[in-house]
Amino acid sequence: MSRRYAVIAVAALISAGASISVLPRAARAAESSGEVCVAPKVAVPRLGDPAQWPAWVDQRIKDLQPMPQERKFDRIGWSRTVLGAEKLAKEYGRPIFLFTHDGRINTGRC
Amino acid sequence: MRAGPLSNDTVIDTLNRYFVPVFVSNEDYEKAGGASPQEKKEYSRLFDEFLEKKLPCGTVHVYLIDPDGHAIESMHVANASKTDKLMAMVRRCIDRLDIPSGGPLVKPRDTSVAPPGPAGSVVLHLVSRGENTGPQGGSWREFPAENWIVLSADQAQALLPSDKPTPGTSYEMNAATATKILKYFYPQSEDPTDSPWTKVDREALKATMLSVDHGTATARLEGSVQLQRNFYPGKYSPERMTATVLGFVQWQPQTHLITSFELVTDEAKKDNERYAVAVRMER
Repeated sequence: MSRRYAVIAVAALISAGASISVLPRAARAAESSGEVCVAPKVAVPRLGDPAQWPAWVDQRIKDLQPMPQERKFDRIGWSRTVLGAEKLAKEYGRPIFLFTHDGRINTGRC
Repeated sequence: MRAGPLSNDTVIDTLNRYFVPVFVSNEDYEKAGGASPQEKKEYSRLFDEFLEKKLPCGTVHVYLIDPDGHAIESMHVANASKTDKLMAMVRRCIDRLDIPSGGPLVKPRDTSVAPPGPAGSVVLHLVSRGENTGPQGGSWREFPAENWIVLSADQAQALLPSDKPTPGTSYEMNAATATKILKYFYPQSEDPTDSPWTKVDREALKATMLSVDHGTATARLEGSVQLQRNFYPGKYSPERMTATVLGFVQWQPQTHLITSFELVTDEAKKDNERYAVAVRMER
């Protein structure tokens, strides 16, 4: 899966010329980790020994971070504004895909 | 949409190859929203054109617009969230306009990033996960929620003891600063707004000094929070959350510069549903 995507990505980059060079951090990480999404447990008992709490906190924070598979949305080359999208659309003869929504789709607080 | 078609490899590839994708939050385009007047005017013009052409219109929609800025086709989220229906509309557009394939015109980037903060501020990144977050979680549970919390220099300093740090001593963390962090300790919900709907009923965050070594002070944080929050926007539908938390803060006593802040739920429940929240310092 990851090799296949890499081939597609390289082809896309080549066809894009010099305009694009790299995928964002999350997308790159997804490539290296594969597409299997195993959600972390929301409850993990704290260890009894306080000396182990710093390591427990570190690990819990790492485990709860958004996984690359949960950030595939970032593989899309989103324009930041409607006007910016219209400028690119006119220049390159492409249509615009506009998604309007309530809340914040990029942070999930919606 | 995000966990559905917008995470589908075919959709992602098609949007990057044939379209200029853009997403907008309606809040930014309301009267008090942060979009520029020119952006708001253009958004309004587009919306009016779709209406005039009697094409589907609404707040949560996909709109396809031709390279000259005119309405082509649109779809309500209930249909657009089905990958086959969205792809059918997108392919119709590609065929109709005979668009050549290319690469993305905008470099893909991380879309959840730390906001700028004033000098001396501390930026915290919070991640919240309800139980069963993932593809099996259904709406509002398909991916974790995030908040970026910016503490001003004064608020950040309120995390530290007023006296010289001495191992074994403890202090109550400034309530206002603790609340600024703990008020986001709730699982994913539909209401994206911060206030006035969130009500912190009770919070406590106590710091215990552990050590001062090599110019770095470390304190352990322990506490709890009880809060109420609406699940649905603009509708009184409070849910009650309770959580206990554990974490650590590190700083340089000489300069009062905070170098690390971590806080995570030990146990957290919304009614009988478990969730977890993790906070760490981004900068």
